Amino acid sequence: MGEFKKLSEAQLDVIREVCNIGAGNGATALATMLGQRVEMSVPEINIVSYQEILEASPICQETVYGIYQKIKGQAPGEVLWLLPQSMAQQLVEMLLQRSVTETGSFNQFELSALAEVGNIVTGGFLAAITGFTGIRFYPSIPGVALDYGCNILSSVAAELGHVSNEVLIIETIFKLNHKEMIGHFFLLPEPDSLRVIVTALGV
Amino acid sequence: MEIIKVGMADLKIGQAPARLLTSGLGSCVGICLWDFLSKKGGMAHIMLPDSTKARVAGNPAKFADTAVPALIQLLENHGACRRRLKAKIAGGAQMFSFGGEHEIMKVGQRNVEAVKTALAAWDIPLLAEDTGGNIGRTIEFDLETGLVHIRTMAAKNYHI
Repeated sequence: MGEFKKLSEAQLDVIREVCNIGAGNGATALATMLGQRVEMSVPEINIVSYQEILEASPICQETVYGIYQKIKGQAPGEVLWLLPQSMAQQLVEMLLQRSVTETGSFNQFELSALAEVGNIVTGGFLAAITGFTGIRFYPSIPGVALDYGCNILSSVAAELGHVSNEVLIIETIFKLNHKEMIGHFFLLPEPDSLRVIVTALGV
Repeated sequence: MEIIKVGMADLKIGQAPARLLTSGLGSCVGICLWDFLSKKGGMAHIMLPDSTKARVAGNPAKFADTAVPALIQLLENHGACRRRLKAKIAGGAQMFSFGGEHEIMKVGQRNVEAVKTALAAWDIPLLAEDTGGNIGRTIEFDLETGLVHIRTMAAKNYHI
């Protein structure tokens, strides 16, 4: 136990700032794609045990779309977007420039469009971190799920079970035009990945 | 009536009329063991198939191969009879679709197989299962009847 608890406050501040810059770049990429202003919250870091994870975020209790990418490379981890269904529909419509079938019954093409939203933000996020750490990330193709947030988040967190007994969750909330929530962006790094990142920055 | 909550990578036991409940079963598998005579039972919420692949030591409830014997032992210590134990399992979904066949997140299916292997290794008969698919589950195990009630996003309520 305690793989993440060994991180100092100063190191956590650095991680938070790294993610802040990453998320800012992700927001810019999304704004460019949508032609609309995108705002984001300051990333929040939570270290939780697996027993606590089902209550880790308020969005866990809602039925949402999840877009998931596994990150490989020197600093592996998991990236997950949780989006309310209505926003998923809105994003796909903005992207495809037409109205789409009712949410919950997206066809393969619409699901791919939704997956691409995740891909763009993740790409922007990781590119920014690569920019000032030199660390290269290799995200998998995105997968899409529709379910309760807790069922989706737990399945993603389970992927880290071999390397950790707790999960460090970095959560950033993205909003459209100052108000309407786009979704929650989660980064779940492996314990060693954080060490790689803070070392690359000389902290 | 007492409801005993079981978290991820967690295992608990109880006695009728209590019920054991776990939510967030996506790729994870819920294992329910029941002794019909003493009406004692236990539930484990496993995340991964194989403890030998782990790089950190710890929690037996996390893995199929270690959770099954740990749950049996705990039940026996509290007066359940090992020879009467029967199992029901649920979960092991593949939550994400990747627009084709990919190896990522096949862990649900591997979890189910590993649980079955462990149950067979400890001579516990598997009475029923509700596994696979692409949807998460919440399960409630009634220690009075041995029924496992299942809820999903589609709001279906059924039992095994």
